[in-house]
Amino acid sequence: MGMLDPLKGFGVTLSTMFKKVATEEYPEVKKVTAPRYHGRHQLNRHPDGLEKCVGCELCAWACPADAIFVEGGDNTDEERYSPGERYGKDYQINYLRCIGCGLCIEACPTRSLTMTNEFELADDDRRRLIYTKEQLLAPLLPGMEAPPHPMRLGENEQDYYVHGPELARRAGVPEGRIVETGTEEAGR
Amino acid sequence: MTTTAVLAQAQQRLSNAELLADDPLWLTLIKVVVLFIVVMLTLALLVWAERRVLGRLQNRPGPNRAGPFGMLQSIADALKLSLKEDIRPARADKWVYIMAPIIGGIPPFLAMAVMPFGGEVTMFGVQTALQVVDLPVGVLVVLACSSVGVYSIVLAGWSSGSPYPLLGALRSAAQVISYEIAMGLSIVGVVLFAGSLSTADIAAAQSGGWFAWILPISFVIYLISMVGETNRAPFDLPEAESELVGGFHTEYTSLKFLMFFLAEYANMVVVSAFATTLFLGGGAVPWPLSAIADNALSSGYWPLLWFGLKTALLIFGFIWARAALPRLRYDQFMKFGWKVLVPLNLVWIVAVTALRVLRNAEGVTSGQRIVIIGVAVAVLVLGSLLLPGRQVADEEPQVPLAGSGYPLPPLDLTVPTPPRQRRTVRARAEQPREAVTASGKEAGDGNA
Amino acid sequence: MGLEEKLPNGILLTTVEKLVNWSRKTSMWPATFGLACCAIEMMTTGGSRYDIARFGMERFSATPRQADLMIVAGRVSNKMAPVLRQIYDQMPEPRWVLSMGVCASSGGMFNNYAIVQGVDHVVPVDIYLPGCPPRPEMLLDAILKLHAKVMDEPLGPARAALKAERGERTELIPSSVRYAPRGAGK
Repeated sequence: MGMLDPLKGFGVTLSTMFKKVATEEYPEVKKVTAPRYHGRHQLNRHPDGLEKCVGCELCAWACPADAIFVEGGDNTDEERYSPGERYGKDYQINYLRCIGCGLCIEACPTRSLTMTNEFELADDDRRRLIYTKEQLLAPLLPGMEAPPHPMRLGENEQDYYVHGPELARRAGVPEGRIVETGTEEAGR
Repeated sequence: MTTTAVLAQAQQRLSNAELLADDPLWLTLIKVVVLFIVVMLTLALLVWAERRVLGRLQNRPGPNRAGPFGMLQSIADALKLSLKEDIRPARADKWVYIMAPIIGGIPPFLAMAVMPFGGEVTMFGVQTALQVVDLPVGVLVVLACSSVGVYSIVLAGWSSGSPYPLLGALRSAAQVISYEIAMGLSIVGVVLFAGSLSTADIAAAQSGGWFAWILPISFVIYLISMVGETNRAPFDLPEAESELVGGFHTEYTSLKFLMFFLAEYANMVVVSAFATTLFLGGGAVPWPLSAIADNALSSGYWPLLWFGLKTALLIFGFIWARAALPRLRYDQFMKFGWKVLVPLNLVWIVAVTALRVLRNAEGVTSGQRIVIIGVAVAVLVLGSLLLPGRQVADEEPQVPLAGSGYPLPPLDLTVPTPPRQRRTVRARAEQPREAVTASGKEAGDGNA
Repeated sequence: MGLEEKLPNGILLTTVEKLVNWSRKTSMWPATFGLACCAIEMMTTGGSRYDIARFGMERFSATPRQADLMIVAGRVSNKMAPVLRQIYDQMPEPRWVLSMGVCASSGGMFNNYAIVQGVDHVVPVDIYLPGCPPRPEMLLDAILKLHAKVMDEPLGPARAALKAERGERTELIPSSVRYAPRGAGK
C-alpha cells in the first residue's frame, strides 16, 4: 500500500486505452464454438438415407426437463423409414424446455440423436420453438435418398448396426470421413 | 505577475468588458444563438464521446453501429427518449415535478455566457470580444448558476413522491453544499492573484503564467470538487444505482429525463470551461506554441480552438476518473470534503496570502523573507507533531465470540416484543373482562 | 404509445416510422432484471468480450422508468411474478420483453409449484431465447432479432391494422447470416 495507489488505477485504464480491444465482433464474424458445444439437436441418418431413430423413447425418458416427445411407429416393407422394426413416427423437442444437458445423447442406443453447434435459436413464437422431426432430421448427403425406401446396404438391421462403417465405405463414403452427417458436414 | 502588470496590460489593450460594452443588440443575439447551438452540439458529441472513450478505457469499442463510428448514438438516444411515454407518478407534485428538470437545464447555459472564449475580434465589422457578456462578478455568476442547478435536483427528488428520489435529493444537497465550499475557497486564491472577479480579467491575468502552475493546490482541489459538484463518478452518490436505483431522477421518464441528462453533461462542460478560465489561461495558447510569431496564435479567432482543447482535456479527465475509480461510500465522501479539502484549502489560502504580502512588502530583504518562511514552516511542523495521534479503536469485539468463531448473541439478550404482538398481549389481558361482560349480557338476554 | 398515435396516416409516415424505429432500435436501454444464472451471462454480455455497448445498450438502467427492454434473465418464482409485473407496468411505452433462458420462457426443468411456467403468463413476451443458460452470443442474437422486429413495427394504430390485415411477420434470420460481411459469404 503506497501513497500513489489510488492513482494507479488511472494508469491502468489509460494504458488499456491503447491496447487492442478484447471484443468479439459477433454478428459479423460467426462464432465458432468448441466442437463439443451442446447446441441444437440432430437426428442422424444411415449412409443410404434411412433414419437411425428407432423410436425407443429412451431420450424422452432420460430428459430431466421433459422436453422430448417421441412416438414410435412400425416399419413395413412397403414403407420403411429405418432398418429395424420400429421408427420414430413423431419426434419433437421443445427448445423452451431443453436445457442442453446432453443426457438424451447419452441415452440414445443407435447414436441417432446428436447435438450440433448451432445456437441461434431465438424466436418470437413459442410454437415455432418446438422443433419437429422434419426440422431435426439431418440433411441428405450425396448418395442418400429420403425414406421411405427399402434397406439398401444390408439384408437386415443387424448389418446396419454391426457393420455400419464398412457398409458406408462400400456405399461410397470416403475414408476418414465420419458417417454421422452433421449440418456442418453437409455445408462443407 | 503583479497587479500593476495586469493594469499596465489592460491599458495597452481594451479589456473584454470595454469591448463588449458597445456591442449592438443584434450582435449579442447572434452570439447567444451561436453559443447555444455550439453547446448543444457539444453535448450531443460529448455523450457519444464519453461512451466511446469509456469503452476504450475498458478494453471494448463502445457504441459503433449508429452512423459513422456510432456518432449518431446520442441523436438516437434523444429521439427515442423524446418519443417515450411520459409518466407522472400519481403521488408526484405536478408543477414542481414538471419545473424541476427545466430549472436544471437553464443554469448551465446561463453560466456559459460569461466564459471568456477569447479576446478582441472583428465580427461583421464590429469590434468585439469572443464572449457574450463580461460581468464584473462573472465568477460569482458561475458559482450561483451551479448552486441553482442543485435546486432542480432537490425539487425533483422531493416532488417525485417516492423515497429513493428523496434520498438522492438529500444526498445531492449535502454534497453540493460541502463541495461548493471547497470549490469557492479554491477560487479565492485565483481572485487574490488576478485582483478581479471578472472572468475575462482572470483569463487575461494569466498571460505571465497559468494559475495552475502558480496555485497548484487550488487547481487540484478545484478539479476534485468540480467532480463532486457535477455529481459525476466517483462522486455520483445522488444517483448511485446500487443504492438508490436512479437517485433523484428515478421517477423521471421521456423528455424530462432527457433534460436532466443534458443538464448533467452541460454542467460538466461549464465546470471544465470554468477551470480553463481560472487555471489554464482561458483562450491563451499553450507554452511551446506561444513562441510562434510573437503570440500570434492567441489573437483573433484562435483562442476558440485552445479554449475548446483545454476544456476537452478536462472533460476527458472526468471520463477517465469514471473509468478508474469506484464510487465512494457516502460518509467517506463527506469526510473527504470537510476534513481534507476545506482545511487544506484554508491553510493554503493563508499561506498564499502571507507569501504575497511578504513579496509586496517594502524594505524586507530576501534573507529576512527566507527566515520568516522558515519560521512559519517550523511552527507548522512542530504544530503538526503536537496534534494528538489517531486513536486506535478498541480491538475488543462488541459481540462475545464462542469457540467456533461465529458471532453469538449475548446470554442476557432480551428480545423486545414487536408492537403488534404487544397489542395482542394487551388484548388478551383485557379479554377475560370482556368475556365476563359478554356472558353477563348473554345471561341477561337469556333472562329477558 | 405517445405522440405518434395522433398522427394521420400518410405518405411521410413510412419515413418517419423508419426514423422512429431506428432510434428505438439504436438506443434500447435494458432494465436491470437479473433473477438467476442467466443474469451472469447477461452481465458477461455487458463486459468487454461481448460488449453490448456496440448496439448502444450499455446503459442498463436501474429504474424501470427509463428502460425500454426488460431482459427477464432467470427463473421467475411465483413470489417474484407480481414484482416482475409491477416493474413491467412501471416501464414507459414502447417497451419490450426478452425472455432469456428456458426457465423464464417456459419454466424449463423446474416444472414445479414454485416456478412460473413461462413469464408470458405474467407479461407479454416479444422474443424467447432458449438455452440453459444461453451463451452471450445467443443473447446478442436474440437482441438483434428483436431489433429486426422493432424495425418492422408499425407506427400508429392505422398502420398496425394494415399490417395485421396483410398478415406480415418479421422473418427472423440468424444474426451470423444476417450480418455476415458482404462478399465473404458463401
